Amino acid sequence: MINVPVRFIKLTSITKLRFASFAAGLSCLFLFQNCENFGSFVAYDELSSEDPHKGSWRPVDGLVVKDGEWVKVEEKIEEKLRLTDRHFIASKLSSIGIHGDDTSEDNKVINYRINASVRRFVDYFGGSCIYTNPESISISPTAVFSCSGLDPEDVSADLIPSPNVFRSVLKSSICDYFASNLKVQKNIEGNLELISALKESDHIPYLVHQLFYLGQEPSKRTLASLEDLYKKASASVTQSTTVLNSEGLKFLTLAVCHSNGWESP
Amino acid sequence: MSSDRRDFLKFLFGGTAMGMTLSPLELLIRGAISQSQNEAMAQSTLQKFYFNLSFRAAPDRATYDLFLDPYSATGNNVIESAGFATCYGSSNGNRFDEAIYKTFKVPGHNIHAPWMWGQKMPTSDGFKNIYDLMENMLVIQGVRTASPGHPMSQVKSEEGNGITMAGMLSDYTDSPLNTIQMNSTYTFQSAKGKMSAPLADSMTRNVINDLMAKFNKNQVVTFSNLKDELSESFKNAVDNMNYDSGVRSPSTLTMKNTYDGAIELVASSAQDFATVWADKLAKYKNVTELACTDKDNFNGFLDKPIGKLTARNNQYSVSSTEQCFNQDLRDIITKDTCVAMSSVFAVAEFIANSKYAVALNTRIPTPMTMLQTTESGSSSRQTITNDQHNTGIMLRTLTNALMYRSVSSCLYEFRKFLKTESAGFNFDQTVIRLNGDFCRSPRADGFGADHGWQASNTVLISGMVEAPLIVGRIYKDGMAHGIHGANYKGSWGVGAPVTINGVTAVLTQGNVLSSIASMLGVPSPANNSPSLLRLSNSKVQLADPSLKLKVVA
Repeated sequence: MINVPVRFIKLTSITKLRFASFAAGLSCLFLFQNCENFGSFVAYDELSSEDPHKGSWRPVDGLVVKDGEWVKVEEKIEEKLRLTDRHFIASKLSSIGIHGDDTSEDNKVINYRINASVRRFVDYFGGSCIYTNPESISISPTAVFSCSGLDPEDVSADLIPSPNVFRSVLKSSICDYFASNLKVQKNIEGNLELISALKESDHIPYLVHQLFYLGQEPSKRTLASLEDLYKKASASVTQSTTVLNSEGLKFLTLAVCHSNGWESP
Repeated sequence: MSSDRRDFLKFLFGGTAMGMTLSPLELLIRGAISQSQNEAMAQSTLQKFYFNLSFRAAPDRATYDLFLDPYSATGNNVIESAGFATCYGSSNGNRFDEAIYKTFKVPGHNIHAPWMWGQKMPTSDGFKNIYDLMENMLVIQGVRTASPGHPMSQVKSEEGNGITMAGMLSDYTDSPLNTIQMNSTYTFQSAKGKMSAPLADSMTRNVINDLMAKFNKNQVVTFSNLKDELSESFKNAVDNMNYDSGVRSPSTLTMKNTYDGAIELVASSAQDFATVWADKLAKYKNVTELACTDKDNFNGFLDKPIGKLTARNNQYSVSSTEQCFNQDLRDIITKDTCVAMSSVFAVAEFIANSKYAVALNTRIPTPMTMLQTTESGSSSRQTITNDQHNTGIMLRTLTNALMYRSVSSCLYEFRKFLKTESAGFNFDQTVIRLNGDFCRSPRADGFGADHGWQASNTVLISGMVEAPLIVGRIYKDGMAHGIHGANYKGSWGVGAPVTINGVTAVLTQGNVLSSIASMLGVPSPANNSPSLLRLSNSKVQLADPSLKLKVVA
């Protein structure tokens, strides 16, 4: 928990705070699913009409002047997000988008793209990068990313950052690539077979979900919506004999990749 | 059956009907997150913009925003020093041969200001009185910084309790880029772990393009063949997966807002930034170039040749070993000195218009000169450092005054823009801060000026300020209070104790941060330091009328 008003802590037990946070978060989710910052709520204590500066230069947490009056500003209590770092994201994408011989030219190209979109952005995706570290990653046949080439200040990024627009747009980009690149799609087909053996299922929407969310079961509602997407996408092209419809797979990949949860297991 | 994805999506999500050309990705994601987006938009967030403009390394502020005795009858309750000057004087009539302390009484406000405020600045509306800016100006003086050195003084001018002013503001708003750190060594620290966006200044590149490059839709939207009937299914699938994740870990759903912001920026990247940038940059270049070259409207600085013809002394020093021998110091100034800040203001205008960020931290480039450093030699290009330890008073007065004149022209144009209807953030929602590490303690021999960390000042310009306000307490003679040795005698703004709500202490950077936070409507990062002001009907009032600047013995 962060940014908890000092007075709130004094007046309220930690247990109550946690319970209130939990209850408010669940209320948001189950009743409306509409909180701007899920898991957040407003914590007020008794507002005082007394000038908080009177008598001493004492802390005035959360108090601001509005129209001549001291008022409490909404304090948002949030959990630090458990986002995964660049290494996890890149490894996950490699395990999904690469199949077979890692050293094949096709797979190298895919790996370059993953590195270029994810692994080299330490600031946005997090993940340790010691600038004296010899970590060296190819982002094209001729270009290499290295931690040692970074400005030391750039390496002071959080190990696990909060969500940020740069990360979001980079993820969008790589998801688009995964859905549109035929070689990636072919590799995904191969990896689905591995998942299929592991999960003992041949249900394509379920298996694609498992590619990204391995170990996390989708809800029935999610599964139904993925199935609906797969069917509609598959129906749009004539592809007779194969079990796996390539058009359906493309849009399943796109949708699951675009969802947020697999970045925060 | 396939159809053109773009056209279909426009139809499906009403992009055309809304009069907007939206990218497929944008439409896709807008559909997927429309519910949370609309709800997020319905929630109120603070609508304030903080433009923090720094004179890094602390140039002498004497000519511009250091007010030593603004409210007395004479404006001259000071001890003068050969190292402290507000303009040039002439002992023989034809040339400026000395740097002197001289003030100007501002019409209509009964304030004595450094001489420069009585001069004119070039603007797109012609030459205007610099004191026009005072209508919306608040100056906090006599602030003791956190340390005698640059780094900690810089850090603490922005940060208290581990949170920076820009970080605090970012925490209370939903702008996609939070804070732009332009050419900045500022720290950025948010309580909620938000990130700032770095941006390198340039007069030769399109800086807006640089900022938006990561959101170039041509690099993002590469997938194809999204079918008509798939869009709704896609949206439902993504929604449901996010819902599943939200149940498991509610905090993951905050990612939706970030995603929303990213998509907004992708859609915006379709703009013609070349024209936007060229127009904005040209506006500021035009006025700043004139600020450096116009000699007719800057009396006391440019209306006479500057410098003794012979016997140059420490007052003309460039470094610890060199002096300036240019026969007329006016010739040393290159227009780069003034023009270089144009890009900073162009970016500020872009941000204020688009509202992609709520704070812009940036700094003013240092003056560029053509100096003749030997008696018979030719001039060569040199930067005059802002850390003016060895910059003589004759050189310092001109280079700084021209820099400040350019800043004034830019502030005029930026304020004018904020008052237009097209501005995203308006003038009443904006706080512009002119900030330095600290003031400078001038050496009495005029040779240079050292770190004046016992005196810092901050200028705040905003529509929330309705009349010029100069606040704080300063000593008439800091040396008499043991602040400095004899080499720094005279009045130069050394902070003296001030009483707020019964507590007496010298103002700190925490008081400045709390005052700015009051204007921005967020908690202060330095919450154990009281604000010097409060808002009444969205206008600034002093927390106590006695806080107006006084010179004490």
